[in-house]
Amino acid sequence: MSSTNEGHAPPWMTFAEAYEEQWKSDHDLAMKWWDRKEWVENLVATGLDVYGVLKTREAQWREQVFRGSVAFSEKQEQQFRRAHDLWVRTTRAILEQLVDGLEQQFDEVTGVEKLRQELPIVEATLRDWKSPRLSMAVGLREHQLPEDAAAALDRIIHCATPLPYAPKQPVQELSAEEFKRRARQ
Amino acid sequence: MRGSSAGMADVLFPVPFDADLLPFVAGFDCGPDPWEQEPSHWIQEHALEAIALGTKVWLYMNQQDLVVGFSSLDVSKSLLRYPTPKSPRVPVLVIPELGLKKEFKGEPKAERTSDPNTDGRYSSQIMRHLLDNAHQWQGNMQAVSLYVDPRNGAAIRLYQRFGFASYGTPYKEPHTGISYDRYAVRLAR
Repeated sequence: MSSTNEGHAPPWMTFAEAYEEQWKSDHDLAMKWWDRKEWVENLVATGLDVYGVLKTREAQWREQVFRGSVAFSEKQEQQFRRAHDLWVRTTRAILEQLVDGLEQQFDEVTGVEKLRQELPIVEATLRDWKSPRLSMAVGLREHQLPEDAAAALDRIIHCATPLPYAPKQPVQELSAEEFKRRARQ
Repeated sequence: MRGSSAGMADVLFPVPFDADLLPFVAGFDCGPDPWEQEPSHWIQEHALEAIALGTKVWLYMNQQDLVVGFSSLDVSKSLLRYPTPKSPRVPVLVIPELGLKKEFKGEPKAERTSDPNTDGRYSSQIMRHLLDNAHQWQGNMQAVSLYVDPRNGAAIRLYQRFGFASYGTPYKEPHTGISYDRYAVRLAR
């Protein structure tokens, strides 16, 4: 099991910070509406990109911890939470302070609808945050079979002895609705 | 209520497990031994995390509409590369956890036979359902593997009835120190 790189901020954290920096950067409030629209749309596009990166990296980290290929690290978890929090605060500010005014001038501001859809998802992720943990079932963990086990499993796979059970079509499954209708707890 | 008393076999109905069905496994109890507590705890507290990452989990209901047990199946992440570590990976399935409530162990006794193809006990029905699904799994799976606590004699006898054989040195869990025996059966083609 490897440990994570604890010494440096991971690239996705830098990406989230850059999103906030881009939002905070001086912008000419007197700029023409068209220029302003383009500037905001670039900001929204960055927000969507950062969301995608955070979502992917968080899912990868969670699976790595679950499979046992990476040890759980509180520091890394704090970084993920901070990056999500940064994204939420920046996105709220963009939507409230920039987009609302623009939408009164233009029919559509590219990317805004998607950003609006994603904001409550990330808010809920933060609110209901659950730390990842190592799989309790050892069969779901990731590890290389030792040589003796690999050789023995290979022999099982290539064994010609008849098997005691002849497989059939799986039996029909109940739907969850049917199950709930019937089940006695 | 449908029942086996009228001469009808007590056939189990599988249902794919998800968060919606969590209330139906509250208090799920396979028994007091450590190897029985593990599946009881897993289905109540851990199964949903596995499902989110692709594990299939089923509950089983008998003809009296009672939940009797559960099973699970997934692609193994233990890499089988043989004869060298650089050989192509061989796809193998794994049964991560399987559990039968303590009151249903060995039941229904009246339907017991020594043939895994016809044995009516719930444990055998669950194994048949798992192996039937394993044969249908996409990706040219070569075998079904599992890890079992060597003290769990009843489970080992069940696996052996279905052709599972032990292989390799046991896997020692680094946190609990429990050594799990590895078992596998090839998938007939």
